[in-house]
Amino acid sequence: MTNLPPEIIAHVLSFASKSTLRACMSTSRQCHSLAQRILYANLELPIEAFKTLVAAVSSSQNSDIYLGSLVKSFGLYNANTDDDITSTQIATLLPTFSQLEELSLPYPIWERFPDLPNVLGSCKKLHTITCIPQAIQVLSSLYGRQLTSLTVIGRYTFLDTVTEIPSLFPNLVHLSISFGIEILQIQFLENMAIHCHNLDSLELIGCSVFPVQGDQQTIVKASSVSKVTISFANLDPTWLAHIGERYPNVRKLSVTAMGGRDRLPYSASEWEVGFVQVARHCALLSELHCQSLQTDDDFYTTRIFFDTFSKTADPNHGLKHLTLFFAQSFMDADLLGAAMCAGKTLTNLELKRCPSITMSGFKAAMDQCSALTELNLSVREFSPSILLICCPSIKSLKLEASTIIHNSLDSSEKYQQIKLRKLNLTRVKNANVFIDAISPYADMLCEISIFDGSRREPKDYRIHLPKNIIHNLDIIWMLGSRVEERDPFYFKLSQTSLSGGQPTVHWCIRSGEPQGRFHMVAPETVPENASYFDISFLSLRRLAFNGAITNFDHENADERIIH
Amino acid sequence: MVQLLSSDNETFTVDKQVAERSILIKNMLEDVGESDAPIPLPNVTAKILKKVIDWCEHHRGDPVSQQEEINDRKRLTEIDEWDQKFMEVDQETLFEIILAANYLDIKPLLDIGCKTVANMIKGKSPEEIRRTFNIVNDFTPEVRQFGIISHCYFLAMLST
Repeated sequence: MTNLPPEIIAHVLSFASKSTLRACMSTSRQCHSLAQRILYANLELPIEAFKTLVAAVSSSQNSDIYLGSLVKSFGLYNANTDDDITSTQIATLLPTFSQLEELSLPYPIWERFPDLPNVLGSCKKLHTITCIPQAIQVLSSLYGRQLTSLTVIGRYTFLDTVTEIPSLFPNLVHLSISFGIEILQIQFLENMAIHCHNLDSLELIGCSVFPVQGDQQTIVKASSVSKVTISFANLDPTWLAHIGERYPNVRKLSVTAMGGRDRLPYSASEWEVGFVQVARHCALLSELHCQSLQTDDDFYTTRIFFDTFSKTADPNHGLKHLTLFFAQSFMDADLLGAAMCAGKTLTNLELKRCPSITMSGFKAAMDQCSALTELNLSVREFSPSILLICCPSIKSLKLEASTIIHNSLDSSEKYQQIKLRKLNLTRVKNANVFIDAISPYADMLCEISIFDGSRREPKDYRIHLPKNIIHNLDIIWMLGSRVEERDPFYFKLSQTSLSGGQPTVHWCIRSGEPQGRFHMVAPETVPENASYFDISFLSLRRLAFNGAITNFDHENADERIIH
Repeated sequence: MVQLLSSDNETFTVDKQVAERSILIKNMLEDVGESDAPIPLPNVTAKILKKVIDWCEHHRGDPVSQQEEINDRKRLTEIDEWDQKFMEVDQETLFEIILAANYLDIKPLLDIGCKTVANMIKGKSPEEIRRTFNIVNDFTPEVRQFGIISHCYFLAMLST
């Protein structure tokens, strides 16, 4: 029998889930330390666990300080402004993380302790931080030159320090500013280009901007930048043109605009100027996400879009990912347009708000997209046969806000096996109909996500997973909607389906609300005598169990951990 | 063309481009320069070398590993279909492929092998994992009773 050396076991464990790592910790001393190293490397805690950890560290002698030095990335979540967390608690734990590389703390913590970096001390390896505008000054004095990734989260507060970011942090590779800057001037982008020569990705989310002046002088190009995400409160088409010109090497561009000028949409010809500049300057563009672009004529604007990009389509550098979401509508013709403009390079396509699609139109579009593997549609109605007939080779399908129509499949017809691996149904009505219909043809399906199902279903609606697909499933995600005390959403698995399943079946259920985050991994070993497993999971707050469960009392599951 | 000599003295002739998927061989070729002499690989048997060459043939055109994928936080455990089939071998062979990939310095093959093993131990109990890796339980009885359990419990709580 061949034995693997420790460095290879460590490499194997780096691909393992947390629950597997936990199991490995009790196998032997060596595995214990290998697994521990990986488990502690990324420590992401809810605030309650943070307090427990602080208490444990302050009451124990030396071993936990050693563990602190294993932490490379630390994050906190579930923090509220009224948390009674103290500066002493923070000062107990943070300095033990001597090898810290990444730190992510939520707004309320920073707000109460803006000079927190002083407590951290000299973390020589620290390179990634999530903070608020008020902390920028302190951060820059301590880590100005060593930070490569900075995320600034504001709350509609404008601080002059934000405009100084480019000169304070010259080595940034990644910068993200969200909900912070009331008025962003073009000068900021100019400063970024002048100071930050290594910048690769720039994200500006939820900022309002000054319109680009017509008489712009020469623009300093930022050729290092490959990813740009901009969602301005009032992005106008001239910004699109500006971005195209400033970032000639951009590969991924994502633009989201909320409103128009004086609440009026822009004209299609104004958008044309933007599209043409992007298509002309950005030859390497492979990912383009345009969302909520306000236009007075959707139909005409989409035409212009497709025309512009199909002209530049290049089989080697064509678009691979495309997301389009104009304010109004999409139709068959648009699908075909998307297919034509990205040619054969397109692998991911996302189209939102399609009022309807027809089988023939859809088939024509899909035939153009031979490389397509991921499709994301929000369409009013969808039927299982569209998937089986038109796009059997896609690996991932997401349907959003759709109603599944059951056009019973022609039983005399033999459908071929489809290659679908991931299925995501978000706010989809009749999810069961869809899953039942495709399951005989979906042997490769290994991940199902069902989000927000309860909104559109009757109260006692349950998701059933057919026996033949459950065997292959690795992961199920269930994301609850933001529901009050109504609409229990059931998830039921019968014992017969589970007992025949592979030992790798791994269930995850997560709540959609950022506050009541729970995560369930269960049951990896299904008990012989379990007849079913039925959880109204929206009533749970946090739950983790691992191992055999015979009676699971969901009434009192709040905050319980079964190990 | 490059000649490779396995530990059991079998010679394989492969394209230079294929052989250079192995960083070890690539460096050797750069050091030695053009030569007809076979490259000895004393740590790899013919059976395993053949498998490794098959893999390199199939992946000859792959772009050399992209820096972006080395994001430890989001390590994907997903394996390409062809590779999944390729790795459908008995455990002994799988481990030998992994060791060969490590020795020959073929990072993508090493990753796929390790992901396959990680999938094998997914959801297994400590005892099953011990059997998989041929690990001896060397915890003292006291630790078994208290230390590990409380520590694991602590971690379970921390990492949910």
